[in-house]
Formats: sequence, structure tokens, C-alpha cells
Amino acid sequence: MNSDNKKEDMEQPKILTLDDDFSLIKQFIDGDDNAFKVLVNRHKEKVRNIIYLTLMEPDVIDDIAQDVFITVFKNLKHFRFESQFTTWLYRITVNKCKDYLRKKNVRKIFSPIKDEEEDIASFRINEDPDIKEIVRNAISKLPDKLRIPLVLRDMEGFSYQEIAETLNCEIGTVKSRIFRAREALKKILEPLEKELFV
Amino acid sequence: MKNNRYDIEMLSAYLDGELSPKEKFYIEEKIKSSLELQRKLDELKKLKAITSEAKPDLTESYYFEARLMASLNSSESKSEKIKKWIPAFTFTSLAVALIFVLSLNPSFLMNIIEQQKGNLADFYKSNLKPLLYAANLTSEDIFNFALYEELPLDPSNTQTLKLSYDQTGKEFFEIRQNTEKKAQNNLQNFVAALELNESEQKQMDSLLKIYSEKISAQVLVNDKNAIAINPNIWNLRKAVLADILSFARKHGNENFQKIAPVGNIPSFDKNVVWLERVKTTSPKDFIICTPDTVFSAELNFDMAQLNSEMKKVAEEMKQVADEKKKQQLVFNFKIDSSLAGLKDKIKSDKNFRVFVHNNGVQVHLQEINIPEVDLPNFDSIASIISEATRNFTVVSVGSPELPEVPETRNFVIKKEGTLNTSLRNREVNIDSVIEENNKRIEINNKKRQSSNRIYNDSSLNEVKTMVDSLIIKQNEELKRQIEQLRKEIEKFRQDLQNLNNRQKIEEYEEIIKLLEEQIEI
Repeated sequence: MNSDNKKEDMEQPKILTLDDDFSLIKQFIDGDDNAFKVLVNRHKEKVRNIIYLTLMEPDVIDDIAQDVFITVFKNLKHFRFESQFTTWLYRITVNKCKDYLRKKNVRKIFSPIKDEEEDIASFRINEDPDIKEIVRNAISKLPDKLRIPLVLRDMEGFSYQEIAETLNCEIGTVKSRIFRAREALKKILEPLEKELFV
Repeated sequence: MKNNRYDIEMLSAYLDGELSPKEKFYIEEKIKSSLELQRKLDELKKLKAITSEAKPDLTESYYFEARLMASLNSSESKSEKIKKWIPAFTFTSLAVALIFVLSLNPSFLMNIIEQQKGNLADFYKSNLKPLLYAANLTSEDIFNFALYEELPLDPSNTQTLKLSYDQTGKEFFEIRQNTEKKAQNNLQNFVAALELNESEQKQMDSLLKIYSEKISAQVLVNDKNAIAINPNIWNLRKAVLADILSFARKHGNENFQKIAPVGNIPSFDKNVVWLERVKTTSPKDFIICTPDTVFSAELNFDMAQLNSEMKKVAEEMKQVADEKKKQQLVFNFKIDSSLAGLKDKIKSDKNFRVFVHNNGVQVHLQEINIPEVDLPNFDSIASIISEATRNFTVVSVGSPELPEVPETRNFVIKKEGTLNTSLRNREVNIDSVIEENNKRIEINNKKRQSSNRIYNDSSLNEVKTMVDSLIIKQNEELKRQIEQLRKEIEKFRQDLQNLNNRQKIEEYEEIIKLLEEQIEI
């Protein structure tokens, strides 16, 4: 009896739990919904960060992040395993952000005109200026095309290659846009040059 | 400059560690030899540093997974999404289709509306039957119609159709409940006033009977409480009045003059049968009054066939004794609450204006034209006709049946001698004659006042004037009769002189004297 049990243990090797993204996706495709939960848990903060850095609007982060993962859930079964999961995930995230911006721009057309030209120099008035806030505010003034590659590079540490894949463009374009973004940002922050660059 | 910009752009990538070894070697060599590039690199480094430090610290999102799973469980399937959009898609498709159809056929909607109107008209037009067969119009009714423009719509005379003209001269008709009974025997009085003989009376009756049939076909009803009136009925009324007056003048001779003392009825040709003129015009467009609307529509039906059918109905009705069964054989028009809505429904109709009151409905014709027929212009002689219609009543009232009195009473004229007077062959008590006559006049006055009671002020004034003139007329008539009586007494006196019996003569002389005294009183 004991010898039989030992034999069974020998014949049934332990199943290794693979926790890399591809394995989790395969598990999900095989019907394991928990694998999806692990994926969400692993990438949600990165997704939320990208959304925040891309839109600079804290209030909408979670809604868009939820939307991103719902899209991932619905399309994960069709994942081709040709690129990294993160590249696919970040591309979905950026596209959702772009959709949001597009809708926002349409809404702007029908909303009363506001004077959005806020003078960066006005932050001087504040007795205790938050430099990070000033810089984030300056970055938010950048056009989407320049802002997104810049934040992905300087804040999220994406390589040019990753940025190119996420934004579905050439590396040369990324390189050029990041340079232009820095030039523009420097110009915006010029009035605060002394305070910022000492 | 261009090279300089290229170098600075390369400097940015150099800072990010994104240059190939060859590019890296190139730019490093450049930096060594260029103070400007060194300064620029320093700037970019600082900028990159503050940008990286500006990364926000996001607070953790609690229950993110739980919310996500809840959203996933409640997220709609594709079919549900499609279902959600079906109504919007349907409405959009219909709108596009409608725009397309309207662009191709702009009168499409109007055609549909016209068709619906037609359908509604057909609904109400169906099964229309002459109403007045049910009313079983008598010669008296036709006579009253000619004079008073009123037709009974049912045998019990509870509803009447009144034709009239408004202040502008446009025609209107009114269907109303009769609350008071009208004075009867107008035709009988008229015949008596004209002193028509039996043959003339028959002629008169047959004339009115022809009109009765003709008028019967002018008012149709059906089981949907729709009533259709042929505009020619206004002409028929004029024609029957013209024919009655023609007949009266032709056969009534000097009696007709009595009826029309104010002036002769204008000399329209008394040999013309006016009905023939009206017959030639028979408009097919009827005015149809329904609980929903009033409209004008063409009614095409075989009048000959309809007449024969109606004759059958009339014969059946004669055979059926029970009144309720009689009612079942024909339709009746009912003035009920459903007609009350008419006023609001057709407020803006250019053809008709409708007034609904407690007692019935008034429909004023606006754009509907009555067919023009060459008939005498009764408008100009309306007052004369009005006078005449009053007169023949007075004349007939003033010729009462003299009451028989017993011989034992005073002032008795015995049936003997050669008296050639209207008192001949009668025993008359003058007191009772005068008293009876006064009573009759009084009763008739009251009757006439009540039957002519109308509710607006102007009409009331008219009625007052009419009653005044009637009393004057009656007094004149009484005077005329007394005068005639005087003449008779004079003649009687002359006759008496021929008698030989002296005692008798004295006796009669005394009676005559007393009679004269009575007359004076």
C-alpha cells in the first residue's frame, strides 16, 4: 500500500506555477480567471501612472484604468504572443487616453470658452511653491504628441523602442518628439529658471 | 545652424542613453570641443532631473480588482448592446426613409392626409338614408317649413331643422330640440282665410305633397349619427313659398289681398311652377355634420333607387302599428353630448362655423355656396311675407263658428222671413258671439306669444313689435266685423219694412235697437 502511494507520487510530477505574463495569459485562456486577477494586480499601478501622466487628471484615472482592463479581458483570448504583454497593455492604455482626450476636445467645442492661459509665473506669488506641481503643470501644457513620449521616458523610464511600440510609431519620431518636448518645456519654465535650475 | 540643432537633438538622445556607439563617439567628441554643447547638455540634464522628480505619487486604488470584476460581470454582451441600439437605429432609418420619400414626392404627406380625410368622409357617408321619411312629413309640415323655415326631424316633432340667414345674409342651419309646441293648423287657417273650395284644397295638398317627397331626400342620416343636408334645401324652401304664394294669389282672389294688405307680393309669374326650377339644380355636395367634424362632400347615389327603397320603408311603416318597431325601420338623428365636441374640433374650419348650445347645434356656412336658382327674391319681401303669414292667422281667427243659442235667450233672431244676410238661418246671441270672439283672440295671442318666444334681445324686441301689431290688426278686424254687422242690420231693417205684421215689425225694431246699443258698447 505504501509502495503504491510512493509510485503515484513519482508518476504525477508537481505542476510548476509560471507567473510570467505569457503563462498567466495561457492560464486565463484555459479558463482560469484568477490568472487575469494576477495580471491586473501586477500591472494596474503602471497603467494608472501612465493614465495620470498622459492626462494629468487624477479624477479620471480609475475609470479609464477599469476600461483598459475590461478591454484586455475581452481581447486577451486573441492575444498573439508576438510582443510583450506590457507593450500591448500600454498601447491599449495610451489609446484609451487618446480617446478620452478626443472626447474632451469635442466637449470643449460645445462648452463656454475659458481663459486657459495660466501664467506659470503666477506660482511665484505662492509663498511655498511646489516645484513638482509647477513642472507637472508645465508638462500638462505640452501638446499630447510631445507630452506622452516625454513622460513615458522621463517618468516611467520607457526606452525609445518601448515608446515607439506603445505609440505605434518610429524610433526616430520618438527621439525627435522627446527633444522637442524638452525644448518646449524649457521655454515654458523659462520665467522660473532661477528658482528651478539653481 | 542646422548641424547645431542636429547635435542638440542628438545630445537629448545621448542623455537618455539611446545613441548607437558610433553616434555616442561622435557626440562626445563634439561636446569636448564645444562649450555651447556642454552648456546645453548641462541644461538638459537639469531639465531631465526635474521632470523625473515631478513624477506624482499616486495613492493606491482600493478595491480596484473587486470593482473591475463587478464591472466585468455586469458588462453587456454584444447582443445586448445591439438590442440597446435597435430603437435608435430604427428611428434613424425611418427618419432617413421619410426624408428620402418626401424629397422624391413632396405631396406624399398631403396625399395621406387627404386619403384619411376621404376615409373619414366615407365612414360617415356610408348608409345615409333620408331622415324625413321617418318624420312622415305632412302638408302642414311643408307649409310651416315654407313660412317658418322649420322642419320636424321625427314624427313626435321633438327635433327640428331650422334654416336661416345670419346678419351678413349667409345661410346657417340649426338642429335643435323643441321645448315648446308650435301653433298648429296653420295650413287649415290659410285655406280657410283664402276660402278655397274642395278642388282647390286638393290642388294645394298635392302641391305640398310633391314638395314633401322632394324635401325628404334633402336631409339624410345614418347610424353613425351623421346628418347630411343638401344645400339646395334653402332653394326648395324658397320655391315652396313662391309656389304657395302663387297658388294663393291665383285662387284666393280678393282674399289674398286681405292677407297681404301692406302691399302686394311682388308680381313674380304666378303661372311658373317654381319646383321645376329647383329640380334642375341638384348639387351633389352635401353638408355632412358628424360628431367629429362638419364637412362638405359629394354624395353619389341613385336617387330613383333610394326613393323606391324609401317608399318600401314607408309602406312597411304603415303596416307596422307599433311605434317602437317603426323607429327601428329608420334611423334617427340624436342631438347628444357627442356633438358638443364639434365646436372645438372645427374651430378653424374656413367652410363652417359651429355653435353648440344646450338645445342643439348651429352650423353657419362660410365658404359653401348655395346653388343659384332664379327664384323670387324673398329677402326684399321678407317683411311682406311675415305680415301675410300673421294676417291669414288673424283672418281665420276672426271668422269663428257662430255658436247656437236657445230661443229662450234674449235678442233672438228667428229662422223665418226672407232675410238675405249672413245671420240668416241662425239664432245668434250677439253677447256670446263677441265674448267668444274676444276669448279666442286672447287665447290665440297667448299661444302666439309663447310659440314665438326667442331668447336674444333683438329677437325679443321683434316679437314685442309683432305682438303689438297683431293686437292692432285684431282690433281693426273686430271693427271691420262690427261694421259688417251694422250693414247686415241695416239690410235686415230694410227687409223688415217689407213685412206686413206691424207687431212683428215693432218687435224686431226693438231688437235692432238693442243690437245697435250693444255694438256701440
